[in-house]
Amino acid sequence: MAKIPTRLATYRLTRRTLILGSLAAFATACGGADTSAPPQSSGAPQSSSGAQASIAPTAAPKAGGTLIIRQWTGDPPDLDPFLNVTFRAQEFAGFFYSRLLKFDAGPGTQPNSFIPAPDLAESYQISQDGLTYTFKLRANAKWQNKAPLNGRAVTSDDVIYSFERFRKVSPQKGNLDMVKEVKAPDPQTVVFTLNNVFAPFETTIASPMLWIMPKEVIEADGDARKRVIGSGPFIFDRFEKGVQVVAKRNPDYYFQGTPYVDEVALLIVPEEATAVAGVRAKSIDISGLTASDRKAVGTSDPDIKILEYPQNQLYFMYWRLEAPPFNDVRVRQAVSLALDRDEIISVLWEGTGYPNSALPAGLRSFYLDPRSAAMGPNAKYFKRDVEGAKKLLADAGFAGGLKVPLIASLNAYGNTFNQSVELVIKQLKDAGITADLRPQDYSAYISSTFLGKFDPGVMVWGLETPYQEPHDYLYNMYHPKGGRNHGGVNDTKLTEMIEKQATTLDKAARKAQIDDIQRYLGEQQHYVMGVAGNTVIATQPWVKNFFYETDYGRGGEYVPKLFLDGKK
Amino acid sequence: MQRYILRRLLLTIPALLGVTILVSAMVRLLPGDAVALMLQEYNSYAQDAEDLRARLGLNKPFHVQYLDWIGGIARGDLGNSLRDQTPIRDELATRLPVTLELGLLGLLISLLIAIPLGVYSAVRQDTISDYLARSGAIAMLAIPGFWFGTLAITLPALWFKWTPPLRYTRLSEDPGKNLGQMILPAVILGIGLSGSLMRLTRAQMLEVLRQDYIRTSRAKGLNERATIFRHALRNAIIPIITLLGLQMAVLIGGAVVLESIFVLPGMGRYLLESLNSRDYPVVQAIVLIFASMIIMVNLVVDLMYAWLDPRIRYS
Amino acid sequence: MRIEQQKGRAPNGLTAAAPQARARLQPERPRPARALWHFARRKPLGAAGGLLVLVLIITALFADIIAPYAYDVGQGVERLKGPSLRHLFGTDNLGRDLFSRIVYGSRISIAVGFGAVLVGTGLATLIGVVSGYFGGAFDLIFQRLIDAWVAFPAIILLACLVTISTTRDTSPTTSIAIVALALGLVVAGGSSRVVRSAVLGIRDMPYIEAARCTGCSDLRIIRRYILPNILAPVLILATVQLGGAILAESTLSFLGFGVKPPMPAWGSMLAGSGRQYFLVAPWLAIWPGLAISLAVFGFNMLGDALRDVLDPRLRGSQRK
Repeated sequence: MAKIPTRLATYRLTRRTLILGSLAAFATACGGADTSAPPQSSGAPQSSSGAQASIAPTAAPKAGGTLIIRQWTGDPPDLDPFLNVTFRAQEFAGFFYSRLLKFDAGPGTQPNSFIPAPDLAESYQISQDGLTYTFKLRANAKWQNKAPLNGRAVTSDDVIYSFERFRKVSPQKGNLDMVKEVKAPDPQTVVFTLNNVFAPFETTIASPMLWIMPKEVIEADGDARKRVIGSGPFIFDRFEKGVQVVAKRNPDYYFQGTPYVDEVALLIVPEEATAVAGVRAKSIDISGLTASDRKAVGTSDPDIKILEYPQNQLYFMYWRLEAPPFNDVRVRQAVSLALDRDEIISVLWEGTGYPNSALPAGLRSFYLDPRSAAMGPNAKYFKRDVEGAKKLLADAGFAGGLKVPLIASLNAYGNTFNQSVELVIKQLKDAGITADLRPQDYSAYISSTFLGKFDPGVMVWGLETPYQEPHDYLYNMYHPKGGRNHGGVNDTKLTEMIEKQATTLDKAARKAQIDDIQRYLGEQQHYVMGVAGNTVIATQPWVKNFFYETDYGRGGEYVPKLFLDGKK
Repeated sequence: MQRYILRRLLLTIPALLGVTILVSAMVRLLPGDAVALMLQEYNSYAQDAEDLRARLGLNKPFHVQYLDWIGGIARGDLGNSLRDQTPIRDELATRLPVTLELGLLGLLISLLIAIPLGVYSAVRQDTISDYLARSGAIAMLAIPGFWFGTLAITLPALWFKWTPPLRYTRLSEDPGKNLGQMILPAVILGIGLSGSLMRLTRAQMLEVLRQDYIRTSRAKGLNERATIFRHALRNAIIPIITLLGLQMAVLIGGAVVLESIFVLPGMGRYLLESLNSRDYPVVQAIVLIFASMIIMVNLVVDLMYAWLDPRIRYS
Repeated sequence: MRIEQQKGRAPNGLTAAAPQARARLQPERPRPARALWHFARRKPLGAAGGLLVLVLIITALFADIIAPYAYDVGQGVERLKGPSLRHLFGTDNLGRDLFSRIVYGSRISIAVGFGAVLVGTGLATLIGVVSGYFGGAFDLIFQRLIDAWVAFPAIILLACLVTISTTRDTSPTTSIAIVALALGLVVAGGSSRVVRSAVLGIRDMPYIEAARCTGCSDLRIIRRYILPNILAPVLILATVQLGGAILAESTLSFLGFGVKPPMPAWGSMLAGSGRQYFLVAPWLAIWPGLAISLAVFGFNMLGDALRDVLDPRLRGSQRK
């Protein structure tokens, strides 16, 4: 609760909004619980004032300057975020378009916290039954001052237009299936009615997906590819393909006073070596680094500031569950026991890594360390035990070992992933599992294998799409109707557990249920989880107020708040 | 002569048709398609994918797709990118000059290295200097361009906190800045090319230096420098030019790598990206342009051949 | 069109003179050992190249005996250790012995190199001979084909072939064979022109005319007279292509189209962990880089020397 005022204070909001925002969050917490305590209306102001004292910005923000971010390794494939769902198209949109909610980025908020926070909606309320979400739009929200919008106000009609277009054209439209209808009782109010209670609805609305798009532009051009006009923090200036996207500060941005920087250049740098050189030469202000480069840069350039936090990334092994040998839980457990997660941590992640449970460590509010006591007896499946693995295999009828093809896509995820493939093959071999590598081209992989279209009896080592919500991981990967149920998981008990947490509005109760799911999956091993490391972000010393968040819409979250002090 | 050129030009048409048919077929044999990559994991909405394919014309039979495309080319229309429907022509207009500049600079540098070194090596055949020059040439040839590039971008940044600019400046905007960014990759490209050029120059010079007319000119008392440069080199240069024509392919391969490392928005990177995103019309257009360039260069080489060597006459 | 060159003059000095070279070499061929010694004295660089090639081949043949460890097994705790007595070349980022990987890698380089040459030079010779010898319509058709072939950007051909093939069958052998085949196909087009001009240079020689008059079949003429006489340019072509193929394999690895892991191809070692770790563990880049360079150097030097020795116009060319 204390985090909400924190974030709002940074945005210099009115006291009224503050209270509303906190109340909304409170309503979320209590709404679904039968034994809801009376709202402690005094709690919100108290916590806000307390927080305000402690979160004064580290320095008085300075306006101006050009911020240079190494944003991509390749061009954004499409400037219309509804027509292409790849992260590059969404990350591009984050700088220019608004959402109703976004994720909080601010002092005291760790990256990957994914706390929904007001964006275009300055506040929102949830009905007692959890079925109606009422968003109040900001009175000062305006489209950027470019024809044909010319700085007109953003109204509830724009939200409805965007929602309808999203439902029509976006490949992600299924993510909003729970919405029954959207209405606009007045220009400042949008009401979403749901078909059923859906606990993660705020996160869904905050996730970078339902951008508020300019109606006039799309009606004239057919799409938003030719003209980029939003209501977000930056005004699109130009896209030099293969070089950079340049964005200028939006002076009419509704969070008054921000962004601080005048200009942002989003560089497209395909090679890691080039990006590292750019960081060393101080020609790039912000760039991600690999674990090995982090080590090298840390030694050679101590003045570079490094931000490290657990990756929101699942490395995992999957297979079809309906056919042998992987329909046998013992074989799956054997694979998990064969993995040497400590070796992976030391080899791939320079010693700092986190074994994935069903959720990655990056999803910090929900992750259960699978080797900790909290995991219970199933923690043993996450510790290497070659003999145990062999015994389980023998019990399952594979005393002589197992020879299995292993699919992995080696031309998309980079060196670290490719090395993890080699490492996993080697570790499985120790336990008598011979994995015969079959590299698969990424486009074939993502449109077939990843969707579960592959032969039974084959293992696949891959990465999951990063989500901001445990529900998205669990439902997509383990629910029979899930969009990423790679292995055809159909476990009645699990399905019930997943459905239950989605309708549990009480946050603590829901967290306990999600813990239970992780413990249960620790034994079932429908998918065998690997290890994720740290995400590493390097910034130059002059980048101040750097409060990072990691979702694809982060451009509108952390960039407006940071400023440059002392950049030449 | 004019008839010959005309005939050669006409003959490029079937060659180019062959190249485009082949490349169109090959990219379509690659696993996956543009739609799969646009929808990524959301491909499960099968109907969306099919609708999109229909909209992009990807569900038509191969020959129809090809004829549509080549028909567009005949009308001077390179088509649109599958990914975002932007006209390919616009994209190529900005990218082609980058690769051309890189290629020409690289070529120039390779000639500047190879010709003097090759002549020197030939004149001093089988001496220590010859060995050193040749070893050097082959050593340069034997280092992969991507490795040279990695060193060239990493070490100066480590030692001097310097890199070439990472935000490309067009030649028309600021020639000095542009050159500053181009020179390193061009040198690396040039070094890669110079190895084989130097060796050929040496071999040609050795051959020519034995010819009677060289002996004559030496006998006449013409000074050695004039003999070598006025008579020998001029005659040795013909096969060198031929090799240059054949090196075009190497040049393109080098451009792909160096454009990535030095963040140049050229054709090579575009080709690779389009190939990886299965953007068929873009790949086809780039290959068409590269192929036309290679054929033209080889035609020019053949013509220069006639011009430089009076013994050759084209009928 | 080089077909119209007068007197069948080859565009490249290394070709047209070959038949005479052969003719002159044959009668006075000395004993092998003495010939080698003579060669080494006169062409020290070529000899050094030959030696490198020999070492490479021996390493590849006896990799199992030479390598102290397996190429695909390492221990995480042993990772990124510098060169030591235990690990002569140090260990890589997965804790594998680098010396063993370099030794096994020679097999891949040799296989890719010779495979590419087999395809490249083989195809080039076939097309060059048929096109050059028969001329006429054959030649016209083949040359148009070659126009297209040469004009096809190699990178596309390589990427497509490798990508298409890896989705079908992916045993290590296939993966190496495909890379070799692709590289061979790329060079074959241009090389066939060199062979063709060599054939053009001798097609109308009196001894071929004579053979034709005595009723020899075309096949016999090609086998008996043409092929032996173009051996020199073909051999030289092959050595140059060998080096080129080894180098090209590394570039393919850089672009992500190389031989699949954990096969220890030098190119993928340099392009992958070599590039990633070279500031922390420079030996990861130095050894594979050196191996590539030495192999390319060796083949090219050998080729150069062969050219000098086999081409009579260069043979006597020392300035007196």
